[in-house]
Amino acid sequence: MGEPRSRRGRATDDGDEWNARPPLRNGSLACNGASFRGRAYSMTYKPITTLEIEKYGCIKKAKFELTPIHALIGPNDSGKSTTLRALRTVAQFAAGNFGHEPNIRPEPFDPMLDNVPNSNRLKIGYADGLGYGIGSKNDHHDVHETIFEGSAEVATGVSSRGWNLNGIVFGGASVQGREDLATRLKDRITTATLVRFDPDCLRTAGQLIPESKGIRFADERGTGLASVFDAIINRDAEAFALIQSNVRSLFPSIVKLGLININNSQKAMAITLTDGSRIGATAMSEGLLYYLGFAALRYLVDSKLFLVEEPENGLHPARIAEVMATLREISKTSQVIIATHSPLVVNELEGDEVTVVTREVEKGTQATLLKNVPHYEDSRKVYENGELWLSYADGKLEQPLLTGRPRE
Amino acid sequence: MTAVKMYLGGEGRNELGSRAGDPAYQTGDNPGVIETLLRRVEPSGWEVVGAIEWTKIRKFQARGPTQKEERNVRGLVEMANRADAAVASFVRDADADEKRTKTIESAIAKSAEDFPQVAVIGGAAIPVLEAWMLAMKGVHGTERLSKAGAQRRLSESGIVEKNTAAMTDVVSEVDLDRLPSDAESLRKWVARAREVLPPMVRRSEGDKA
Repeated sequence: MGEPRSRRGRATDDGDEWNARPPLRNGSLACNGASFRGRAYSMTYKPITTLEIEKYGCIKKAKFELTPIHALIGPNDSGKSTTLRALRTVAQFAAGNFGHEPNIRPEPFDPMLDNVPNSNRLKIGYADGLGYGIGSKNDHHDVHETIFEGSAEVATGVSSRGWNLNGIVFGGASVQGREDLATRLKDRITTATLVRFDPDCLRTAGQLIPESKGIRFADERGTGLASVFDAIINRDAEAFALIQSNVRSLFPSIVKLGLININNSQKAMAITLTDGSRIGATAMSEGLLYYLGFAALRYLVDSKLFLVEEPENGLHPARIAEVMATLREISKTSQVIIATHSPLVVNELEGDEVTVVTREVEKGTQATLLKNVPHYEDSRKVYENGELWLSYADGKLEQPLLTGRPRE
Repeated sequence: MTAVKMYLGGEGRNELGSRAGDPAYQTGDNPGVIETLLRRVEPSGWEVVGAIEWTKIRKFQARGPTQKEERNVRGLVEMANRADAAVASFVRDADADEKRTKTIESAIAKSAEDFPQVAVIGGAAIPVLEAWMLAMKGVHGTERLSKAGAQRRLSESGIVEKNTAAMTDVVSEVDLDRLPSDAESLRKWVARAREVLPPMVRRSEGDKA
């Protein structure tokens, strides 16, 4: 094992290590329900409000209006996941740590940007008009960076691709006098964390996380869930107690959540049931594993942007609302962008928090805010947002929804 | 003339005729009881622009209990609005559920608030559509019959179950001014149709003139 780490859990006689359980909070769950449907977001982070994509993957040209928590819905193969990748690419590049995720094969840069040889572009913008864009030109070795104020380019620079990206880098002359903008951008942009949880990966024991390292999954599939919880236990026992309390409430057959030592450098998740039996990760339900994965997100290191693929996977419909409440809570301090096929996920969001993504051969990917579809206000008198989508989606171009016509 | 647009809702073929089933397969060839009844009230000046079976109206809701019948009525009116229809018309069997009739009436009132641009001609047939058929054939006391009793009596009168054409024949021949006084749900439905449809058609004709 690498660096030393502190241990605040207690080792039991049978070798299990369980968290020393602090008193549980009374009352409702921290991530419970409608109280998080408000908009009391933290003032310390600035969510991305616009994303422009040009010639990236399957997307020819599209513009997205984003909110602190936002869902992309639409047919298969419309560009939702590509949009998440685009966000990850631009954020990771700006943060200067692209390819540095542990256990992911490092790549010099996103190969999607190489698909089109000229003038592909990803641009993010903020509510105050500050923006940041990257693009590759017909030389495939450099990435051109631009800072925007509104639509005006105020600084440009070129970063050489390679292993030592330093984040936002600008040529000396071009940024002169506007260093403040680069500083403001650096304050806003950190690692983007993409999650596409897979129950088999969530079950897999990962290497323990040294005290000096930030808490993170080993990959986007959720490998190392036990290591993440081990770190949470050791660094924030109260947070772990809260998660355990939530789990007890949502999964009544469970009384205790903990970890089992596999060896000196690995642990696995475990639960104790009301009848006293202990269940290891290999036998834990997928729904519980997914829930634990989402519950852990808010404790991950320094990520102001979570990109979540299909959070509904494996979850009972009633649990979906709980997970969405958790994600909304996270969105107070970190932006959460979701790709989903679940109307139950969409039911938990407002009309400006949902973008319908469609793709036609000629037009390419199109993005339409749900609140802007015809008859939206009238239909919302009868339907929740997810119901509205389900009622008028056709799974192809979502024509009944986007044109306002009845189903055919 | 710009015809008044009508959107229909009903349980199946008896109510909707050949407009039952998936929208892709609906035709106007064989009207059901609802359209025939409305034609008796106002023969022309309006057209059916869409129809949906009761069970196909979207009504799932993730949060909180909501009366299914309320969801059906409000969903139907929302669909009518989307189809630019000025009128939504439906008949729903009350069956043995007394609460259903009140829920439907409440939903109609809510829809009037949500969609004032869509008039609703609708209500519950007590106890079932077959009882309305009997009433139109001059039978008294139909609302006191059970569902099975109404169906059996109608069958004994020569109209077998699911014979939509025979039902619409009854509607075509009835004198709507001489319905049995105790067929209250039918009389109320017809009264509402007379209150809504003829003036709307006259206004439409006036607009055109």
